[in-house]
This record gives sequence, structure tokens and C-alpha cells, in this order.
Amino acid sequence: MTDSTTIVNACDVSFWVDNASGTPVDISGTANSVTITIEQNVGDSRVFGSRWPRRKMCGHDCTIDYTILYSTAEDEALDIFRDWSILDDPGARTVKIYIPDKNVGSDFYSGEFVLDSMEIPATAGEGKPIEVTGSLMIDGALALSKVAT
Amino acid sequence: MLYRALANLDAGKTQIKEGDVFPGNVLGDKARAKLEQVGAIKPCSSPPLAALPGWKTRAEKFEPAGVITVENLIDMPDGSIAELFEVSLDRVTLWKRDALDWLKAPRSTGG
Repeated sequence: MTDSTTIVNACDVSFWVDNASGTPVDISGTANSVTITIEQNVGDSRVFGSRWPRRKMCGHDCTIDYTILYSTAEDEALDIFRDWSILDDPGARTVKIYIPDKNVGSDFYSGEFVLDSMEIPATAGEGKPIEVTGSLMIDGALALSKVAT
Repeated sequence: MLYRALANLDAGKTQIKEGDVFPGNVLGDKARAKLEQVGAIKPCSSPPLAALPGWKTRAEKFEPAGVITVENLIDMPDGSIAELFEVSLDRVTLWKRDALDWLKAPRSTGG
């Protein structure tokens, strides 16, 4: 097979999350990592006389592990995620990720996600900006499409 | 020209499902070119209207107006069709959607 001409990197990935008002906000400017994990629920069984398992699949799941930078402005990534995490009834929000960018032809992953965790480290003597990590879990189906506008 | 979506397409307010057939003017020229380049859409051949189930009689009436294929039908202005057949614009919209629906690729339900 000839070398692919469509290999991409993550330099210009676009990461959007709904704020508390349900408005999509581009948090790319204060985020530097998203890992989309798509899993299948796989079960296996074995029978006498066979050395190999048989597997059946049913059901999918999806989590997004994120890294955002600690900033103090409103409606940036930390502000949105922090407010989301301390609500009495956080609920699911729309998350959108565009790879490699938000231009026509790019891949577009979207879904309703709940905020599973958020970790805010603070280390004395550390000069690097604080990187806040956590994960989102999908509530419903993951949609995959191509950006067409 | 008609196009077939080879992937789900997000065009803002318009969502096009994989397998759907749609008129090219739904997308901008640059978007269309880019999506064709990345393999997300492909021009779709347009069968004659008479080949669509339940369209034989209607196709015979369209033929004198030069509307032979599904693409011809989609390209013809709604108002012209409504006038020709003395039907409502809603009816014309239904006809066009029906014609395009027959060209849709069936979606896999998994297994």
C-alpha cells in the first residue's frame, strides 16, 4: 500500500463544550489534550475440546479523558468544567471534538456527556501552568460525521 | 448533480446521513469539492424516474417536460412542477423527497 496522504496531527483540534446555558463554547484555547476511548462490551466463552474462546459483542461505551489548563477567566474551560462539577444536578452536556480542525472535511465527534471527574493539582515550586485532568462519560450514542460547512 | 453521502455530514442546520442522496447545491462549491476530495461524498448516477417503484405513470407525464431522470426532477423548479401537474408545492416536495429516498443506501443495523 502506498503511503497515506491524509495522516493528521492534533495541533488544531477544536474542542467545544456546552456551558450552563446550553451554549456551545470553544474551549480549545485552554485545552491541550483529549483522548476519545470507544469500547465494546465483549463477552467470551469456552467449550470442552476447544482451546480458543468465542466472543460476542453487545453494547458500546465512550469516555473522553481531557486535559485543560487552569485559567481564571469566565467561560474558559476551567470555569465551565468547575461550575459543571459542583452543580447539584449536573446533567449531560453536548461535547464536540473536531479532528484535525474545524474545516470542511474534518472528522466531527459529538455526543451528550456527563462529567465523571476533575482533578486540580497544585504543586509548590512547579513553574508549569496547572494542568487539570478528568474524564467525561457518554450518555447516549456517539455521533461521527464529517464537517460539511 | 446528485451526490451520495459516504459519511454522516454535519452542515450546520442540515444533517445528511451516510447513504443519503442529496442535490449538490445543498453544500457550497468549496465544501463540495473538499468533501469529494476526502471521499465523504461521491457523484451519484441518476436512474430514470420510470424505474422507481410506483413512479411509472407519473414518469410518463413528466417525460414531455424533459424530466426523465431523478436528477432532472430535482433540478426542475418546484413551482414549474406544481403548475404542470396542478398540484400543491407540498406535494412537489413530497415527490422529490420520495424520489431521493428510493436512491438511499440501506443502513446497516449491525450484527
